[in-house]
Amino acid sequence: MHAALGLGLQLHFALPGIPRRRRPPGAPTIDIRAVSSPQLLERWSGPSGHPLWQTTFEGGARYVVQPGHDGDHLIEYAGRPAFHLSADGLNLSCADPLTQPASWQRTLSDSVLWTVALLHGAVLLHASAVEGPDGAVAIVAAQGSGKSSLAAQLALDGWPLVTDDILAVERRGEQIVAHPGPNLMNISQDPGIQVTPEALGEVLATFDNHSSREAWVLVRRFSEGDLPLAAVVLLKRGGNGPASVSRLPATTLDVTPYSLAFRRMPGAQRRRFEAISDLVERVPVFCVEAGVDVPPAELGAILQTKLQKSV
Amino acid sequence: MLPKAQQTLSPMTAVQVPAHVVFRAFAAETIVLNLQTGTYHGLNPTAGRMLQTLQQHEVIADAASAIAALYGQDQELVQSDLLTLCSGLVERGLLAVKPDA
Repeated sequence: MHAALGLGLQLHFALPGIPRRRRPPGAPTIDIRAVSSPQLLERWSGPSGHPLWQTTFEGGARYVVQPGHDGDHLIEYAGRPAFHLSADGLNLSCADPLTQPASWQRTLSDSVLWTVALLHGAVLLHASAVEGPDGAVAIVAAQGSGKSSLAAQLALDGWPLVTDDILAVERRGEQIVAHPGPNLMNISQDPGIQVTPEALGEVLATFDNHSSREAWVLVRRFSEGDLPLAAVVLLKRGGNGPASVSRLPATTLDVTPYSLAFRRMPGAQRRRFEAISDLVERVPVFCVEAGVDVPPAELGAILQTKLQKSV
Repeated sequence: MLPKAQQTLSPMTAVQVPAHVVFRAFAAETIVLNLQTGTYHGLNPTAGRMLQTLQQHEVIADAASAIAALYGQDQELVQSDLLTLCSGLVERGLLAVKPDA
């Protein structure tokens, strides 16, 4: 059994970065199969209403999640029907995976998996996370603020990767549990980035986007299962000041901007409000402020010191 | 539930938090979410405490008595503040007037 983002995953074709892990208690198991494009369309019941969500990735590929008449979902990627999720949410069909480029695999292990998790009611943070001494440390930040670089630095310092971009969280009793994601990272190759991808693992591909160059890395050291969420770190980069870390008297509003929800899904907003409120009541939230010139290694050292004292 | 235009609040008015409103109290602020509009609101700790009390005592005068007793404050002053708060919350769809039984 494979697992990621709180889902059990039964894979019927090779997909890098989805480790074998124990399925979280009560989690659904998603059967992931390869089909031909005509077979995929045979399973689709036809569009019902507006797309649930749509975006254009940095590389230019369009991503559309369309609900179907029968409660199933079709995901269009780069202008073609690429994935189909059955009405019960347990069967994910993938069109022609063997002929697809690495960017398609990256989309499946990232956006498609978290789309499926959201459709199953998961609560997701747009966060990188690593495994510290007391549990997962989630790093949230505005796009391009260096959360992956900081997570990569902490991983190089010996804290295993929990997830690169999306973290699934769940309240179990009085604890907030973090469900690890794929053991994959996108590491910027832009000038000034001081993390060497090869130091973290195997570079599977390199992607050139309009504004940046990224290495897609299969990370060697990663979390093997669920773990308590020990801290949330809001990373704020700007100006040229030194790095500082402080604990926030946080509320729901501090973390909600870094969470994901399909707003058109019934109950999604209420579920997110309750879950994020539960999280900030139980997990310390820190703010790390640093000028843009402060290197990830310095940020990582300051953060490790603070967390070891405070958590 | 009465239309907002017909809602003149008095101490004997009974109010309730509608089903489309959720809130959570924190030390520094109570966060309120209107699920119909997707809008978040922040209440200071005093207003947050008032909202919590209104969930237990629906009639504004009863809630004012409870708050006045809890904090050792003048009941008329608390009631006046509570009426002002309720008006603001009703206006924003965060509180609803219960129809007369």
